[in-house]
Amino acid sequence: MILIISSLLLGVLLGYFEILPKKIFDLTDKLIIIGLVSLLFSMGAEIGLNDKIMANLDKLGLQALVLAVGSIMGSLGLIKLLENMIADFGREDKRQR
Amino acid sequence: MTILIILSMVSGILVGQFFLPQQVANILNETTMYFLAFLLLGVGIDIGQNKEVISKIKKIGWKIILVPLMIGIGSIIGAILSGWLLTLPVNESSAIGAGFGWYSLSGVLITEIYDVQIGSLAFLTNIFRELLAVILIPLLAKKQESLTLIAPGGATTMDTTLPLIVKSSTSKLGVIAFISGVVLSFLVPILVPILIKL
Repeated sequence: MILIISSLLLGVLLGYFEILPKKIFDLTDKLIIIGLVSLLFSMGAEIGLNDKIMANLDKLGLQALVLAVGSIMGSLGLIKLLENMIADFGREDKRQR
Repeated sequence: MTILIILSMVSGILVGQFFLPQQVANILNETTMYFLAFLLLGVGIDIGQNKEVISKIKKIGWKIILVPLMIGIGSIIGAILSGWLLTLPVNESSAIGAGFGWYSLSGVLITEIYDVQIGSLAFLTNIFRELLAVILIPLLAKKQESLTLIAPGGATTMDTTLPLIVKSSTSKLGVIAFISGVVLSFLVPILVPILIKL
């Protein structure tokens, strides 16, 4: 956990003070994609390797899916409500690229 | 983007299930962590370069705490309602919903203080929540860039789903997502034991 938080903070500092050469900053977008793909692949491999999850997938799977969809929809619903109440929250700035 | 995400995940699951030997599991756990750390370094640089972000967050001010609160309450209500469909008692469904996607912790907590079966259900539910969030975030981003991107991820928006949120939207939303994820992660070990004992 400490490793994860500190690498994020280190990144923010590097980015904020523009310590690294510009070339590396231009690469961050590609780095994020490569990192994301590797992360998802190894997360998937962990699930595939975990016999407990794979074995229980049919038994508990449907129930788990219903609960997961339910809690996602609940949180989406209340966030929509919040957004309608407070208009200036997330909406205005589109990514300028 | 969505196709790339699903492909990486599914091929990972297949390779893990059919090709990798069991001994790799521990190494893999560590590898995932390093990938995540590397990835968050990149996300951090991205956020740090956008200097107006911090001032924009300051402008939103205390209201920012409403984001994780609404996501948290919504998750628990949603879990109770869908648990009702499955005829689960309220203490079980609400505690599972209060895992907010942090599957390892919520699964272990419920297994330890309550029951193995419900613990595994919490584990699976919250894994599914993370997987669905990974699929939903780019889809929601296509429709509009707003707080709705943060909701599906729950507690995971401070780490695993953060890169995806930043990649599909703005650094500002990324900062809100991080704060929301931290608050929700903090609430998991408090809320799960309280709710399961109701």
